[in-house]
Amino acid sequence: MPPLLTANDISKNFGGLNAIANVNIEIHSGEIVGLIGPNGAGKTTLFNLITGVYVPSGGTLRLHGEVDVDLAKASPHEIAALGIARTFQNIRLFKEMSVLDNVLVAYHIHVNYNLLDAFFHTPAYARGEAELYKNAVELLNILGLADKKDLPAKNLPYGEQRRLEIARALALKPKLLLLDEPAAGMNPQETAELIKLISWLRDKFGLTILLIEHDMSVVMGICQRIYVLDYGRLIAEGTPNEIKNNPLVIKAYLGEE
Amino acid sequence: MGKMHNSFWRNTIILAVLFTVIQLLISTGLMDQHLQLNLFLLCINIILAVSLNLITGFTGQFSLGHAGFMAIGAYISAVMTLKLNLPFPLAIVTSAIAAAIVGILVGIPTLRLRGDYLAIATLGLSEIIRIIALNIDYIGGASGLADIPRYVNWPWIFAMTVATVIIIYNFIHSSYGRACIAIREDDIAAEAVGINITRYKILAFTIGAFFAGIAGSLYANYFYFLKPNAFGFMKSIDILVMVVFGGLGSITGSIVGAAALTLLSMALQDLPTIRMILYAILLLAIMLYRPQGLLGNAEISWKLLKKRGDKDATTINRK
Repeated sequence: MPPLLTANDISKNFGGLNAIANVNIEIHSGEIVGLIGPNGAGKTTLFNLITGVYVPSGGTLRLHGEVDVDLAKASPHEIAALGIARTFQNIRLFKEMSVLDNVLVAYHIHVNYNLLDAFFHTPAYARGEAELYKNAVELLNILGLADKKDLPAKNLPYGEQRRLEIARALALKPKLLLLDEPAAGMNPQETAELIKLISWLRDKFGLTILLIEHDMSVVMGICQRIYVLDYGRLIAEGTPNEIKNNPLVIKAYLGEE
Repeated sequence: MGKMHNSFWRNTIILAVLFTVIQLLISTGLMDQHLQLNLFLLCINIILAVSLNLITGFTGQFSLGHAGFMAIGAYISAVMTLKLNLPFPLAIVTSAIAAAIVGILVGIPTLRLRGDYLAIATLGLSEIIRIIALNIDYIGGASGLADIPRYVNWPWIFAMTVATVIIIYNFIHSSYGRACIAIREDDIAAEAVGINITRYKILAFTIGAFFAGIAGSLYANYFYFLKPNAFGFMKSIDILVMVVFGGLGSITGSIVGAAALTLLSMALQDLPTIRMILYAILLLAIMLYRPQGLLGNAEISWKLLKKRGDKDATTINRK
């Protein structure tokens, strides 16, 4: 089976700094893949390359969906429409908008009424909005946020803001979901629930997931494969067990004796 | 659904009564010319404020060039009705479309800019439009155009104001409007959920320009007389003040803002020497004592008041 996403020899330089240097990654459909590494290793930079926020300095980055796409040439909104959704390390919700509206915004690429319908609130508008509303509430139900749908997003507690970001990403109906530290700031119980939720979402929506995480219980608990970055370079890849015992990884995290 | 219909009919009845009452006041002569002029100006200001709010309040793009789009509408409408003897409905439609086209052309390069840069670029645009008008003899140059036929009556201005408010309200309460608000809230996250931010900024800017063009056309064919300096920097600021005063991101706020400031400047017309000073002081006072979240603030101050009362009580007891 061909991979869903391939990064081939990809690099990103900021001036003289090689944030990402000659990284090769392959992600297959249905996998949950972990991306770990010490602070400043380039994990979020890699996410920004995949989602088109940054343009790679070298190498190729391709999404193999129904058609094969060169992600280096696509802008962020095009990449989102192609089926790559993400969450952010420091939560980026639409703070003043309601929880429901945050999800509805993300449905806008699936809207089936046009601008004139929007101006005059035609029956096509009413039908379209009713359908969006139904889908959004369903999604919020799945993530346990339906009873808070009318609150401004900024009023949610931290853990729920993270879940709302996931709901918003799912509204894009993505093939590949990138999660940037989904368990950050969560207590052990919330983290355990999150682990269950991520696997369940993968099965329910047929997702492929790439996640950055510092919490090893998450990474070791749900990832089939793990990539390890250090100073922008890929230093290891393998199953959780292989990574746990890899001397290079231990060195990167704990330093040498 | 039944509830929605109720509010629809209620609004329709309120608007119909408002229209009829004012129409009667005008046709019976109970409303004098001075008051009527200010009422029409108020409606034009509502159109301008609501359309600018779409750009600045909802989409978060700080524009200082709204008077420029109004000028385009005003001059095109004046030329078409005065010089070419074309019917007014054609003139108003052409004005709006022309302003919208200029909006697109200007929006494409400038809406890549953010914040202060966009404000300066849009300010530059409106100055360019004003100076072009100043230098074309065909449209009267600095002395402007006079004897423009008055086609605008109460039904026209009422219909255009209501249409502007409804269409912009509808736009905001649609997937398109939500995309615009998302851009204001966080443009990086907006892109990450598939919103083409440049396209939506241009869309909001163009719709705003379209309605400013309508306002300009109404202005030209009501006031008989146009001159370029009516559309200077200060006019753009005036509109912005109405929007900020009423509340960025609130349509009813813009209506209230436009009405309040138009009436205020009407009330101060008889005090020409201190008018601007009073206007400024009143504005400052309003901005200090009525910041954005009206209801939220009222609650907090009520609580504070109560707390202060309790504190006083305890200090008294201690004594």
